[in-house]
Amino acid sequence: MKRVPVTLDVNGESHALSLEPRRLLSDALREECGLTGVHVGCENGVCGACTVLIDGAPARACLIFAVQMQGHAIATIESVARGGALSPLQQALHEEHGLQCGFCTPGLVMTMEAWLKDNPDPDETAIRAALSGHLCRCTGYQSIVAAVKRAARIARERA
Amino acid sequence: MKPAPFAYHRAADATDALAVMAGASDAAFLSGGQSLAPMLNLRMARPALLIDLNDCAELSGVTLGDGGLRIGALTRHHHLATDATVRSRHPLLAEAAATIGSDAIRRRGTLGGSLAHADPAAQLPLIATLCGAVIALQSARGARMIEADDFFVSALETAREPNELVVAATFPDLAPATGWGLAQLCKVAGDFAVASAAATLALDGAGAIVDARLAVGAVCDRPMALDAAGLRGARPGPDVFEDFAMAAVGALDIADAPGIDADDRRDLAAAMIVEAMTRAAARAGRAA
Ligand SMILES: Cc1cc2nc3c(=O)[nH]c(=O)nc-3n(C[C@H](O)[C@H](O)[C@H](O)COP(=O)(O)OP(=O)(O)OC[C@H]3O[C@@H](n4cnc5c(N)ncnc54)[C@H](O)[C@@H]3O)c2cc1C
Ligand code: FES
Ligand code: FES
Repeated sequence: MKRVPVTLDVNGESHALSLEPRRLLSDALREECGLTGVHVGCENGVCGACTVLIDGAPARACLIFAVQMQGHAIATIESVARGGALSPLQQALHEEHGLQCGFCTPGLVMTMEAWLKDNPDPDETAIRAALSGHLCRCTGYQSIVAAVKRAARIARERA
Repeated sequence: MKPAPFAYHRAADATDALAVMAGASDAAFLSGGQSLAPMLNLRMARPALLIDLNDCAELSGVTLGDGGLRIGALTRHHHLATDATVRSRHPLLAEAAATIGSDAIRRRGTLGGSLAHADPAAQLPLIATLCGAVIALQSARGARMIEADDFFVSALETAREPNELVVAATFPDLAPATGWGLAQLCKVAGDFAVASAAATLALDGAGAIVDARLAVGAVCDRPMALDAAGLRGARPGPDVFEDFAMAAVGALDIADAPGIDADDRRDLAAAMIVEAMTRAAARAGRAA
């Protein structure tokens, strides 16, 4: 099938690409842009590992075609630590042992970075509901929930 | 897996989308992609052309119309769940949308896509069936309106012709003081329900039921409206609800499904009906 030109705006950088329309955004980000922090688990929208932000809102990169993204701003996990400094959520995940193999981590960080902006002081039930779109096979989730709570506290203190 | 090759057209507006559809032989509309993309990835769908509706701004949004809320097909689940007008005018629809999948799914998935996809366990088809929503369809040849109950035919099958665009759906206003309830049994929060039910109840000044509507999802091959006329005049309460639920599921065509047999599905559907009615009764005000 014919390739089509598309310019992806990712983490503030512009990538001029030529892609088949069937190319998944997740694959384009990994293979064309070199952003391998975008993890691919299921390609069904279920596991959440590939979650990125599109115009600030979380989305499954495996359920979007890269050609659709002309004119939209994409943010991946690579944009979260600013100048090498971990975000409050990344710091809290580190301190609370919120990751083991780290496969699920980039996707859930993207979801929760956006979610914490709208929910600066969340309770545990709300955190668990927000995390329900992300599968983690290692941690049993307790340490992730603790990390999100801690991240909210750190962010409130920094504010 | 990866999709089979397809061509892509980013429609500028609905007119453009319909014109391209009219000239194509094997095309599909693409809205949120939250059902279509998995089907393409699994190669359960292999259209030659995708017509992307995401730039069709006129297909998106909520307007107050005669006797109801008109909701554009491209309106996202997230918008339905959070919009102040929907939450005040149709709280049942807002609550149903808030329980779909997870945040990332709700940010992209759309009303039109959910109706056209017609998953038997999906929330929005259930509420559309319960409320008698009217779905507006359009093709290059003309427009027509169809009631939800006539629209949903079977699992992933609707009365929509392949070249017809879902433009909007109008959800009639709930009568004043009507109570509403939604009950869903999901194995994991955000999963499709194993059984679901939705109810609206209106009471008279003496507390008797003057109007009741019920629908069940996930246990038949499409959402099913139940005949609730027999509830008129009854007083809401556990016995009335249970008797109604047992009779209602007995009349439904419920088959064995993978991992669950028909009897269990019937029991779960009955439990969801009772739960939805109980919630609706608790919210129902008494008419003056
Ligand atoms: C992990 C996950 C969990 C989910 N959980 C739930 C859940 O709990 N409950 C639930 O209800 N749904 C759930 N969904 C599905 C989600 O709600 C979808 O958004 C919805 O079913 C389809 O809407 P869409 O806009 O994404 O449509 P698309 O995927 O873009 O399209 C779906 C179908 O409709 C057609 N179509 C799209 N728009 C139109 C239109 N305007 N006119 C005519 N045809 C059109 C397409 O050609 C395609 O056949 C889930 C999805 C995922 C990935
Ligand atoms: S790879 Fe996208 S959700 Fe699993
Ligand atoms: S840390 Fe291994 S999957 Fe979550």
